[in-house]
Amino acid sequence: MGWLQLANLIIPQVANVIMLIKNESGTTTAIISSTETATDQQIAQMQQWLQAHQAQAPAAKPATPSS
Amino acid sequence: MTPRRSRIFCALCLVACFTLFASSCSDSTLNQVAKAEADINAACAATFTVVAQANAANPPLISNSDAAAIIQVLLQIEQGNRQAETATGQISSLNATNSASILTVLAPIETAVNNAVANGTVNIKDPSTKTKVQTALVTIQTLLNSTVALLQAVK
Repeated sequence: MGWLQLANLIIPQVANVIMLIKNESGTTTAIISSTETATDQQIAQMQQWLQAHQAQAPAAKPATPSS
Repeated sequence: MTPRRSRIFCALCLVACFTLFASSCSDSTLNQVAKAEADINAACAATFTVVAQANAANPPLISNSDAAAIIQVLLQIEQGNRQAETATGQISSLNATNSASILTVLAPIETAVNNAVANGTVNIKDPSTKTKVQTALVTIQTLLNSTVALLQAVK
């Protein structure tokens, strides 16, 4: 087996592994970036709900008679 | 072993070493953690929808104070999950140090979820709403526990 044949054997395997790393790292980045946006939206929605309902809470309280 | 055979043997050993090294760098656990964080966010969103809809029903199936208590817990989970997402996004592979720091972020929300599963629905009168909210909270707890287990397994 000469160097050319050896290179033919090795290079495709190395390329496959590099592609595997690249794809997996790209997938993680894509998942994180879309999740961060979704989480931010969800946090904002929950904060809005809490603000709206906490603002309603005192109005819902029965008036206490003044002594 | 002839020189030519030993040359081939060395080359194959090099390929094997590189493959092993590269596989460890590709870090599929990090990918799984990122997916679990996305699932936790989706489960919190689903729970919020159940609680908000039950509260908006006429008559309300869950009181304002009970709904607010659960949504406060969901908000705490989402804020912790957001910090974990930021930490996950900043690394390219998991090791003992960065796993431990993500686990530190997740610890308080784990406690909050466990408390919510144990006591969060006790005041909900409507049985169907109670079951829906309890199931949703258990889903978040399961997802969080599996994320913690993934991170704890990193050496």
